[in-house]
Amino acid sequence: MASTSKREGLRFQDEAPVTFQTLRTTLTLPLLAVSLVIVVLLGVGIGAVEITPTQVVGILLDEFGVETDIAFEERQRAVLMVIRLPRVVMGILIGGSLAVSGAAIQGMFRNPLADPGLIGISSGAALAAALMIVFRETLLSGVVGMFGDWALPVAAFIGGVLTTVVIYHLASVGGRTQVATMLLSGIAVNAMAGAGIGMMVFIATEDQLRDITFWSLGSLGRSSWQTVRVMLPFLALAMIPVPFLARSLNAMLLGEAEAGHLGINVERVKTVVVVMVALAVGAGVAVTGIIGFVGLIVPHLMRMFTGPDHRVVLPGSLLLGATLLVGADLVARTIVVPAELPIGIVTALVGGPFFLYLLLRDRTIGNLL
Amino acid sequence: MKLYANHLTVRVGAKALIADVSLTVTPGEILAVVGPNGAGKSTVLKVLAGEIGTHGGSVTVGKQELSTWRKRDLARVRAVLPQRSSLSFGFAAREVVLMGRTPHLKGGETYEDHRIVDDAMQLTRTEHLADRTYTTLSGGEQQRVQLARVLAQIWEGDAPRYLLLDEPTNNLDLSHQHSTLAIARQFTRRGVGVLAILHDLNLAAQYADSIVVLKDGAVLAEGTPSSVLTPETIGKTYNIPVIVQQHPQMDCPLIVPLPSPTFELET
Repeated sequence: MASTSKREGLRFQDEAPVTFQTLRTTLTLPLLAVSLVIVVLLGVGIGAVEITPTQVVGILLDEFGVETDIAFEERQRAVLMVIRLPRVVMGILIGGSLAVSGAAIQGMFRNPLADPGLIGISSGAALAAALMIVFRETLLSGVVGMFGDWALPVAAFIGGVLTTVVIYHLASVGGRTQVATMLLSGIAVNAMAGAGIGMMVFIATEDQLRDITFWSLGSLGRSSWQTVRVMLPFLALAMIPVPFLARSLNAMLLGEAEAGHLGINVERVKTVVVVMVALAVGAGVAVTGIIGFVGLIVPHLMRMFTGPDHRVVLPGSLLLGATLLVGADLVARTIVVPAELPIGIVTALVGGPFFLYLLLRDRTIGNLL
Repeated sequence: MKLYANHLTVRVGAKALIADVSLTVTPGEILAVVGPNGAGKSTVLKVLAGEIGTHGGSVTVGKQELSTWRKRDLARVRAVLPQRSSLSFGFAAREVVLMGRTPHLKGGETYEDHRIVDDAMQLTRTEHLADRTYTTLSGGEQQRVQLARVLAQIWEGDAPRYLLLDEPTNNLDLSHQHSTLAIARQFTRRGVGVLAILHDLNLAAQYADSIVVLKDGAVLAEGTPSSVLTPETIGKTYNIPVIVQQHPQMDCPLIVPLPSPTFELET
């Protein structure tokens, strides 16, 4: 029963049909990669000390022992290598992993409005951080003794993982996860964590208050090669399953039962997604505080560009999330020089109205909640 | 090498949704499951599909107990059409059908997979919808695209294969109701065993090889259409009087409902 489709002429043996959609999909990822490179060059180049893209290349080559004719000052090298590059690398890591986490969790919940913040992971991590800040010298001094400077990020990470585990168990009945219960548990956890953070703000001293504010607004300002080194294994571990998840998440958009009938081990996919998101978001919040909207907006943009296929949405979110966060950080640290805006404010200021625009433009999204 | 349900019992609390239900899906045949609303038809299908467990009884597919199958292996020989689908993301209809090939893929889709998708869409008369966004299709169009998806899933391969259809004629107009069951009939000739939950007794009479009547979670009658679809059985099942005649052109019964005094409210 041979098909007589008109597309036949464009088709090669053993290959998918070439359509406008596939063409756009193939072009999207390289274009996103190029824009990431551009925004990285801008991000490391702009600031009190200007460094041209050529000089960036020159300095980097020099670091690897390659001599070039490109002239640069030692001061530029110091700014690039010690301050800007670790910060931009951190932006790539956090932005990419937040966006991929958002895409995966939206797929799992079959709800384009889901977000790591929505099921309480971010706020659980932030509450743990607030507890740590306020009780640093009293109740939790033992933890500080054990982890030293790392006590705060470790607490945030543990807070994120604990919240995820609690929510996951609340929502699991007889080995199956009920998505609605999970979302509602997330709302409850968010409210409780919010109350806890409010309590900490209430009893905090002036200095502690400043610290808590940092966590709740988010900033890449504390990035260094050391924090990058600590983050990298967590985020790498979280990103390993991503290529294997795409097809399963696609099938799960049909419904969990339907995905099961297509041979997908749905429970295992859900466990992998939850662990992956807890790792990525917990580690992210630990170093940079809560950075909202990236996990929500980026996968959404990807679906608008290329459709809902996770084989494109997941890698695309990684690139676009990295690009947007590095760009947002560039704005955050240059818009009110010499001061620096918390990046969470920038992402919320841009992300909030954009999200409203999406809702108003396409009201059907609202029907999905 | 059939699909057997043996003495299935499913309870919610103390209430039995189905009690001691046994049935057999035979490759090459269509088994229709009929019965009033709430009789447990969908529960039986969910147990056969492995969606829910039981409090008693077992399901065997081929030589193996259902739970011992590897999910992917099972998905290559058994497809399930749900009553309604919750897909709310904007895939093209063709991409939805292509998802049916998921259990067969090693790496990317091959030319073969795309050929099967084209053929399945042609068979279900959904070719013209291929590039349309699924969420913008009408209920009946979505149902036919979903049918194409499950057909693509078991399009070819080792017999026996099985197709479980939960009210496949929902939302469909007269012509598509018949074409859907005609497609199921066509698949039985490829060694596929079909189980279809149906509400229309005349559709069941025309297309099924055998019929199981469920009422209150138990099997009330089973057998060939002409042995099961009698005025007595239908009366007992649905509490409605009917006349059963010979179909004027086909070798099957024709059910004609009569006005029932119980439907008229006393004033």
